[in-house]
Amino acid sequence: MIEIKNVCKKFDRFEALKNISSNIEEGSIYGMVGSNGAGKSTLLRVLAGIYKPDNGVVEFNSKVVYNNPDVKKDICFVGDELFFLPGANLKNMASFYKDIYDDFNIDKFKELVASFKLDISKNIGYFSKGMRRQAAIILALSTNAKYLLFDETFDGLDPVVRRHVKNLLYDKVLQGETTIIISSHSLRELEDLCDHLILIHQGGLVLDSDVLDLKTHKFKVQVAFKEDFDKTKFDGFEIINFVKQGSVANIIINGNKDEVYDRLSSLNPILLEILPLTLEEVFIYEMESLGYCCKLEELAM
Amino acid sequence: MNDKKIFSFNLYKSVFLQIKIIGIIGIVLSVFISCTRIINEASSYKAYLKHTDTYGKIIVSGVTDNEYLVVIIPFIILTLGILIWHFQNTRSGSDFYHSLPYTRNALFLSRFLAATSWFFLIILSSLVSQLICYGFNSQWYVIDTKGIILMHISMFLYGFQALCAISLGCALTGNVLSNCITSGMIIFLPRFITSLAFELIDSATILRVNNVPGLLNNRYNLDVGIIFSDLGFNQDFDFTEIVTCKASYVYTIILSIIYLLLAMIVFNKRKSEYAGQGAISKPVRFVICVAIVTAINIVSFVTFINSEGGYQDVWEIVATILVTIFVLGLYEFVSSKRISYIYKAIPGFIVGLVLTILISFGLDFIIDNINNYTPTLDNTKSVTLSVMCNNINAIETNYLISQTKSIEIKDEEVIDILSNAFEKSKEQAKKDNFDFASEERNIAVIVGFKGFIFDNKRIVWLNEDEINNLAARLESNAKYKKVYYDYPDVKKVSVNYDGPFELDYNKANEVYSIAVQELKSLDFKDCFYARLTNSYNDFNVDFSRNGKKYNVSIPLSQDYTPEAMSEMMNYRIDELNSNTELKNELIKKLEGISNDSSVDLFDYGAEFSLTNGKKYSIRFALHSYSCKDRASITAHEYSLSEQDKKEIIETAIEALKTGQSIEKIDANDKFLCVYVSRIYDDDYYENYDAYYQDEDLNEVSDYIYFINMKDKY
Repeated sequence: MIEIKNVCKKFDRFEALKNISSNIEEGSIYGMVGSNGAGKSTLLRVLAGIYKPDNGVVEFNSKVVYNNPDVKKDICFVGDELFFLPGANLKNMASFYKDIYDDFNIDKFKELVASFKLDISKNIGYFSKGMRRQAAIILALSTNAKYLLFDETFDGLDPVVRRHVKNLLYDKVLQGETTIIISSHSLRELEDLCDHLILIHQGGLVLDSDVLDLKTHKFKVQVAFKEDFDKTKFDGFEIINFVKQGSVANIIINGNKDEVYDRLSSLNPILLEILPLTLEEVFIYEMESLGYCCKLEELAM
Repeated sequence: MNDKKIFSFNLYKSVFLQIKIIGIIGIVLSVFISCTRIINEASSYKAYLKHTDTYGKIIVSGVTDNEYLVVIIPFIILTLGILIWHFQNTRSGSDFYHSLPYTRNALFLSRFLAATSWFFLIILSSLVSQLICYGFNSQWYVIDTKGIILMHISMFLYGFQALCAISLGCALTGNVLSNCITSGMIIFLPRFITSLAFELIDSATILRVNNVPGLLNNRYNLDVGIIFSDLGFNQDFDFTEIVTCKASYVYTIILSIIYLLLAMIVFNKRKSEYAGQGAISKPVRFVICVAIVTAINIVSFVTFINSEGGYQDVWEIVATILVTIFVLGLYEFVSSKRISYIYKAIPGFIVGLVLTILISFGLDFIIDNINNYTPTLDNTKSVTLSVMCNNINAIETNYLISQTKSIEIKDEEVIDILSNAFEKSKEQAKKDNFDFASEERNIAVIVGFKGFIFDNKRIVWLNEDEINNLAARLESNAKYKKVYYDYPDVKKVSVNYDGPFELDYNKANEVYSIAVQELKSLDFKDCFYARLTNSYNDFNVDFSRNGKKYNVSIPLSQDYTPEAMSEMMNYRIDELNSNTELKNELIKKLEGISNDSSVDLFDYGAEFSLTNGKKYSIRFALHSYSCKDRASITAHEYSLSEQDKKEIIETAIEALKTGQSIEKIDANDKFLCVYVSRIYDDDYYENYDAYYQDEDLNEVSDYIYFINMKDKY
């Protein structure tokens, strides 16, 4: 397990991370979401052992990661800005990674290169942005590292390649080999990939939840009654948001869907409908309930 | 050996291969220059030997022959250094390497050693290629193999020190320009400031030998010593001194290790997020600012304080402060890319100025103390006494100087003589405001007055009595005396003679052997006097020992080496005697003008042509080659009557007719020198490359005929 304990990080006077704590279970795909400058990349770099936190600590199975090769040998980090050895091609990079990561699988590497249809002998400097991103992903997956950290990894990839990458990541996790931590500014990007999501906003952790939990335990209810009603009619329900327009109320409720439906039915509404929420809507309502007033545009998600 | 905590061979191997292009270029360059230089030199030498058979072999000390390495190595090292550390300057590179499963120490050491390995291979390839090339051409060379090896060791340390400093500079800063500037400051700035301070002391003190004491002397720091020596800055030693001094190696190694350890510490502590920034921390930026301010302003402040200030000095201070502000602004721009951040340099600027003022007052105090220094028997426990090569500077590759400077003389009378002589020299210098010879005191020596704590090296001007008294006392000092009779074997030297006698190589060697025999047979008093004084006819003899080139100056004079003098003179006499056509024409010409008072052979001379069209000029001079009669050593004019001149011409005619040679020479003899010089038309130089024309090479263009006039004039 990865434990993030009260991590703070400053750059000069700017607080990039404010007292962040979370646990990441093994064998999961963990997503970090947030607007530009929220602190996602910083947190990822702290997890990768690149940045040393000013306060707090990050531990992998109770071992501190910073400057610890025993831990880092199981971690492979792919940054938002990619780096390759000057003048190197994929073969050279594979050779380099093979020297560093003991479990680097050259067969797997070749298989992935073929599946992405990249030229193994061509200078990576001549690759397009998307191809460079693919090259980085190939190398990372070939290391067989237990923990893969990706920063904005879908940036520059076309939809087909994106789907391919996601499938590869699923397979990795399903085989029980890897824990993946992936950051993005796009919630839609991570919605169908991640098991667990955190939302970072202005350096703080505002939401940390299981995705399934978010989707199944939060839903929108449209309800109407013959008589006039207000919010008090729904005491006993865990209401996150209540908006009444005319005689119809749109309510965001947290709870078991079937149970809530049965209970509302017993109130004899003239209209009762349960509508699914998108993850975006869930996040927005959660943040509102926590006192964060922000719109979709502000989150740029 | 793949410990990811200390050193990783895999990472080392990877970096080694990454920088291979620079390494290979370095090897090719050093081998190419080494081999082509040697092959060209040998080829030219072989070609030249076709025209003459009177040259000895070329002496290869290994040191001066490899000075080009001093220029190449900085480029190689800078490139290697920037390449291996450049990743710290970009966010992507910094993140990438810091994410790898290595400790910072392992990352640092693996990369550093990869660069060092290539540099080692470059130096090794230069060494091996030279030894091979010299081996194939050994018939033209006298090779000091140990010297070549020493030179390459020193060059390795020279580059290694710079690489360590660059590693520190790159760890402290985050972009290429800052890397270079900071690395340069680390290497040069501290000693630049101390060198400036000593230059200021030297310029403001009288009779002080340029001598920077102890470890402050730049010779110990290979990088600074070599570069400053090449630039002619603060130079009381030469290049050979630096690269063959074992103490330099030790000091440089220690300093390099200090740089390296500091670089490792800073590299460890350096935050990855500093990539791309200038100086990584405020304290570093502050120190750099203080150093810049001090370096720029120290000269103007010291000058102001020492000269008790005038308007001109004030303006100099204003000018240097303005330059400082400009430089700090430039530095801030390079570091942070915002010139407006110059305000951040204000604390460093203020502290730098305060430090400069304090240093200036300190230097002023030191200068006053030096100028007021008075050696006495109470404050001087011993002295060292060395000759000077000329009356201005002492060059420490002079063999006699190098041997005498370390011999301590505790004789109180010697100390007393030298102390008194120094006081009188000082009075003279202060009165006349210069350090040069006076008529009475015209022999300069270097005296090291060794106190109980400090050594004080001074130039002391001696008169003849003091020299004789010193000789009398020093005769009982066996160790000191022995040095004066120590001359290298003629087979191991390269004799350089460029005096007025124009000897060929074989003859020069012969004369050297004769002169050495004569000097060895002298009483110490005479030998001492001869070695202390300079003669017009010094032989300069070069030889190499343990990689160091030495020079021995052999004074030739009619007082102490009359046989050698007569050998030289007779050589030149024989030369003219063998050119019968020229000699006969010369005699006819002299007979023709002996009664013609319009021709002054002691002034402009006369011209004549041979039947083959070659033109010559004639000129007479009367010379003494006595080292005691210093006023007559150089060419001079005599006030001679017309009758005297006529007699002299007739004497010359008679001597030419009989072909008489010089026999016994006495100390007071004067010599009539008949100079016969070839005159060339302007066309000559356009049409002939005399170097390759056998006819011209073998032809003597300047003749001298000597006639001993005894003490007649």
